[in-house]
Amino acid sequence: MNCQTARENAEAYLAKELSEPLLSEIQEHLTHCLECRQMYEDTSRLIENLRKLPPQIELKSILEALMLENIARKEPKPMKTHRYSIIAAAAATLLFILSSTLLAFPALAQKYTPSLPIAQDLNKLQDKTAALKSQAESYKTQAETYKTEVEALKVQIQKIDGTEIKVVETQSGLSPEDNTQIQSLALSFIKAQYKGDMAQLQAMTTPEFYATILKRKSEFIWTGRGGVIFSSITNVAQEKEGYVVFVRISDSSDDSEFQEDFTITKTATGFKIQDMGLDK
Amino acid sequence: MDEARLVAEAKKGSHFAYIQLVEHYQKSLYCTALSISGSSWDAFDILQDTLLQAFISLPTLKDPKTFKYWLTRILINKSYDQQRKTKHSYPMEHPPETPYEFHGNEEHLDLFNALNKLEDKYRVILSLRYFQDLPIKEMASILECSQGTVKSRLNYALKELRKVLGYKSFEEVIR
Repeated sequence: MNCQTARENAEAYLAKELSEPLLSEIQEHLTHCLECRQMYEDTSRLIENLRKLPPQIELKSILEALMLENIARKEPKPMKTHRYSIIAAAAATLLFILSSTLLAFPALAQKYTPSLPIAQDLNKLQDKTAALKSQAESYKTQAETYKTEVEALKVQIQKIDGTEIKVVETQSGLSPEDNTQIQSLALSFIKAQYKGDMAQLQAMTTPEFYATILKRKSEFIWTGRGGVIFSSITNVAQEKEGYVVFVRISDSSDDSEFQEDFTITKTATGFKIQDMGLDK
Repeated sequence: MDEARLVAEAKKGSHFAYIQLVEHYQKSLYCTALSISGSSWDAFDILQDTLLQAFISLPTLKDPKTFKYWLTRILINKSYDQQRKTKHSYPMEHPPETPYEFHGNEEHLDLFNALNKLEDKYRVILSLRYFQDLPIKEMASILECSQGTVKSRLNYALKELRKVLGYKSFEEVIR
């Protein structure tokens, strides 16, 4: 170890970010090099003093009060809505409404036989959509389309890839095979997230999205959580950016319920997930 | 401070939770803005813009654990915006007094003044590291450069600061 290398690593050493063997080599160097030891001590004191600066600066209370008052007058922007077609947007909204009504009572839902539209629930849905519609006066034309699409919606309990789940059907125009394949891909992705199965996640995703998963593992890998409870899924809609499907799930470790919004693309080796965003 | 809970509540629109969060971070954010802009009133504007912008955009924050990093990123962008604005406009008349009070001792004041004598890029790097307490990886992402560049710039900034403060430089010591 020479003085030059010791000097270049001073910051990392003081931040305790060095690993072996460099760490021991520097420690060894510092025991016999007085000059470097002095430089390390100076730098350490300098860093300590730098860290002490912010607590010593205080905004004048009148300015701070003004600033906080300005914040108190602001309202947060609502979540950015995805630029999906009206039918996909309607399905996503309904998925949320459903989950807070019928889907909250699995025992009740189980009474309905598979593949039978749930009439009562649809009534509730239409009431809710009417309420939504009146809220959105500025979007009158849009609301009209919305209503037509909503009337075409059906809710069914289906078994996809061994998982029983409520499916919100939309007129997707996709072949039933592709639809099921994409839905099953989304469900497998969630299961792999909970298992932390990286190989499976890699096989299901585009290389770019897999790279994002690797980069932000804590956001995508949920092995520390409880078990997954599937609430509902939409039919697949075909959009400009690819196929989109929304899955609503909850976590057995707490009561939170949330939604995964998938964007899927067709590649030479089959369907691959190219993006997934969370909606609460 | 239970940051995760406060972020979650603020995300739902709670001003109270957000203000608690802000109180925790505002000193380091102001200090960072001050060291980047070099003007105490510009730094106040930057801080105010940052905190308003962050509150409005909070619902788009995906992972509450990244709140500090996200907030710092907004602050850095606002600081650069402010620098561009001041470049193209005549300086505004500001009150002669500063918007803050400094409670440190003389050694701290010297350091504070020494910091102002460094080049922009070194002030930014020192602020992100020691005021915002960010890891190298996140600094590299904010500054859009490699981790290696961050490390060497950081070492160089400390060396320059030691020089301004009159510490003996390494080169002098080994001579």
